[in-house]
Amino acid sequence: MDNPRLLPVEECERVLRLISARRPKGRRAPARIFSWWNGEIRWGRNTVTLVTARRNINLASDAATNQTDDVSLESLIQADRNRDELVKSFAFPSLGLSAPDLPEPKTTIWSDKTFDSDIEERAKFIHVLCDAAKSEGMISAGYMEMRGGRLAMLDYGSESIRVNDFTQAQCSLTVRHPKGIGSGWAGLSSYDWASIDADAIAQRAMDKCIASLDPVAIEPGRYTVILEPDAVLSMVNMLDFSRRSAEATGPGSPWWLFFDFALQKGRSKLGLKVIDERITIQHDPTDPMLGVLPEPGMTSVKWITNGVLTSLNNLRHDALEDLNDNLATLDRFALHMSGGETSKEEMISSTERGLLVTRFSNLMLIDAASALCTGLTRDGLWLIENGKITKAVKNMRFTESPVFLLNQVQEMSVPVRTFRPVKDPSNAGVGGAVIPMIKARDFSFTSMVDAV
Amino acid sequence: MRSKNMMPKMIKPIYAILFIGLFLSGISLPAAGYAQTRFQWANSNFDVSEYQYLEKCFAMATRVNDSVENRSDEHPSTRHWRTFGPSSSYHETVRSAVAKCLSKDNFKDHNWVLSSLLYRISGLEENTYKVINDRLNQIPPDSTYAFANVVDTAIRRVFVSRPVNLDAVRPWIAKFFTVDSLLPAERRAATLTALLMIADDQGDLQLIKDLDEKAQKLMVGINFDTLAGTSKRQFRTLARQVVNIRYRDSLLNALSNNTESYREIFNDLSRKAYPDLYSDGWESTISTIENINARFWYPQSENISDYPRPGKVTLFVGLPSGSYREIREAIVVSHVNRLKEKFPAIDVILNFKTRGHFGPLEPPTPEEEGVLADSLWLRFHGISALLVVEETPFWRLPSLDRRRIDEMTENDRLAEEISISGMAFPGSYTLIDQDGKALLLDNTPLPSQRYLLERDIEGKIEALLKRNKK
Repeated sequence: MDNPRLLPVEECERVLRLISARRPKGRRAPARIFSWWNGEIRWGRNTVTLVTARRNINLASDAATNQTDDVSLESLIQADRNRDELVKSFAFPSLGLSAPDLPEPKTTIWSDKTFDSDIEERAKFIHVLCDAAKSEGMISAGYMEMRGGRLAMLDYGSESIRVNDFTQAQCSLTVRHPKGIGSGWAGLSSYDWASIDADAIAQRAMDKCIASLDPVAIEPGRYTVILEPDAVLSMVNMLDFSRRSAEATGPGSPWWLFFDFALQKGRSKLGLKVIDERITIQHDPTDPMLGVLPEPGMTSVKWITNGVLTSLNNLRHDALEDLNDNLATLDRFALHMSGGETSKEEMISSTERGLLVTRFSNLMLIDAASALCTGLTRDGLWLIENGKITKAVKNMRFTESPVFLLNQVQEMSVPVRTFRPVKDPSNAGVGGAVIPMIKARDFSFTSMVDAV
Repeated sequence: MRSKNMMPKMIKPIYAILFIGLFLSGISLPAAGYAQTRFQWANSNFDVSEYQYLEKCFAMATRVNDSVENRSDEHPSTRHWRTFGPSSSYHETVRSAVAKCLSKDNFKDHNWVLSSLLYRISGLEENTYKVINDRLNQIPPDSTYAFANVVDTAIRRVFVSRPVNLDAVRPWIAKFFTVDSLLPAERRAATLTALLMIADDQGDLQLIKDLDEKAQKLMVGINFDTLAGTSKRQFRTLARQVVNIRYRDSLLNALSNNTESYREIFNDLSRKAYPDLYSDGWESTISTIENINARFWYPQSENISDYPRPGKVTLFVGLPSGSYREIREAIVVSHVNRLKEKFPAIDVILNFKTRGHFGPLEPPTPEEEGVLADSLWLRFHGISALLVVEETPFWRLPSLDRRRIDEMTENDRLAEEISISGMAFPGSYTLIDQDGKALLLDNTPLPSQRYLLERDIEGKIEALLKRNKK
């Protein structure tokens, strides 16, 4: 697995021990070194605009170098010391009590296929794609990235280092008609490039673009919708599972229930059925499909279990203060949503009149209490009549709550990995998502949009 | 209420080291320079005028101006405050920095309340009135509600905190009373209370008389039974102020003789003045406080069963926690130290309730928390008092919502019983006379009203101490 793209494990250990020995006394946080490589290609109007292959080393997240010679490392260590001094000048002095050791869940998000990909392979694929778009008289634009990283840490007082390797891959593209009368999009991200069929993604974007040409206008209103996984993800993203929001003193979350004057505390809907009972939304840090490197203390969590709100996210401070838990439910919003077994074709064939939605964009929250949001359809919207797709439809604005949507579910497909790239799986932030396609009734479209 | 002395016999070594370290670091602070703390002023390169937010500048200035400086660490319930003498050069440093901060034009527009408060703190009193005048001039002539709103805010938040130049604000007040009916009744009650405090502080008898009449009119026709607790408390505080000011001499005279007669007189006068406000009396009818509940106490050499000591006037202080705790902590230290300095003969009992949880640290046991409280309140702040530590009982919400719900402690219940209206919030004060009879003080959670609160306490302590001379 060692490769010049990443700093070898032995070198990581040497650097970490060097850092550890030269750190200011009393510094108890683990020494951390992050070595990464990425190769990317960006293209627009059927022409490649950016090709890079980079490697870098970050130390304590602030300093970086792409050299591992002694001079560079010395400068890194000095930068780390400077950062220590800077932090110390702004931070409150510590009491010297450290947080307890937390268990670290393990997962494997490494793919040799991703890591071994070279620039020629990627460039060849892009040229094939651009040529295909040109031959159809279309314009394509997109982004492809492979990424590999090694996070090595030496804990305070520990003898051995911890090493976590990971890879990430993503590919997404938009194909548009030169006159702007049709647009199609497709994308996928995963730790394993082998699981991303780039040809199929490109073909899907092309097919969607061609199928979306010459859209017609229909009246806004409530429609039965078939939402593809990326559209469902956009809606589920709008759900905030933080305990603070759900139990604040006023309705600031769909999970807020009432203010209990006797207790002088806000009460949430924990334990109550809030959405369709077929749906479970959870996060398991050891699930490689979600593409995150679990931090010590990270635990699996089920926010929704069979439609019942069963958990909310806590900071560790709140967990200690309110719940007597020593662990936080870290707010890393990787999610796995349960689904059904209905295929897309079956959903379409059982629909008398409805709309097929590729994805949404420009989502905005209108009302936090009901999670009501608004946004636009994008890159493909079709009318379904009597069990068949009959025509492309102009984009529309919707105004709907994901809570309402998830209460109106009729059918669901098998959940699949969606496009949700993870830039740095070792830092808190957005994680991957495994989401089904959903057929739901009475989805509210409020106006027509001319933009394609 | 009495409990056994269950002093900790074994403290974890790490906490012992911690406590010693805290104690020693408190002593050696000036020598060490404490150059890395956030709120270091004198030798710091960081200037308050560099703050990008007026709120932050105000918070810093308030802390230093109130003779305390935060050198807090991670422990949220044991923030240490360093006190400085009145001649500290820090004050001048802060005042000049505040003036510089305010010279930035956008700050004044950003928040006129904070700007005017900062001017008051920095000693530039005239600028306070100028800021408020500017604000009032921006209001369109026909916008009477906006005018009432600004003046009301100025009275309650800016002027009530310190001695005020009544002549400068009298024109606003006169106009305010032509439009104040636009504001909600409970808010008018709060404003009248603040104005009464100001007028009383300045000895303006005519204004007191006018305000007294307005208070009477305000209370007419209000159905107090339908009001929420907070609103009811606003009216009750106003009524207590009216009664206190109107009959101060006779009340204090009665108090210097006998607490029972004081209670009777106060309750009679109150019922006559405001018969509808409360039917259950005003001053507590509790007979005698025999002893104070405590799991641990410091100094440990004291005998808890002796308290409250017969023949001694006792000030019982509920130590602050929760919101505004940091500011209230500083205020409590200032209050108690000043009162103790003025009346060295009184006993002060500080009531500390355990929290059981301290942010990212391992939760300490009640024993460990008791030692922490001792290190903060008695050793660090140097308050000459008896510190009693109560373990806060709590329970958890069932099922998935497992949040901790703190219950009232024994001493909380006692304070609530005394205060009738349920004003037993942390940082509250109760006065206990030589016979163990408790008196309700006009507690206020607002730190800005410190001077006026002390005035009330001092008057009652003086009256009680007169009994010893008789």
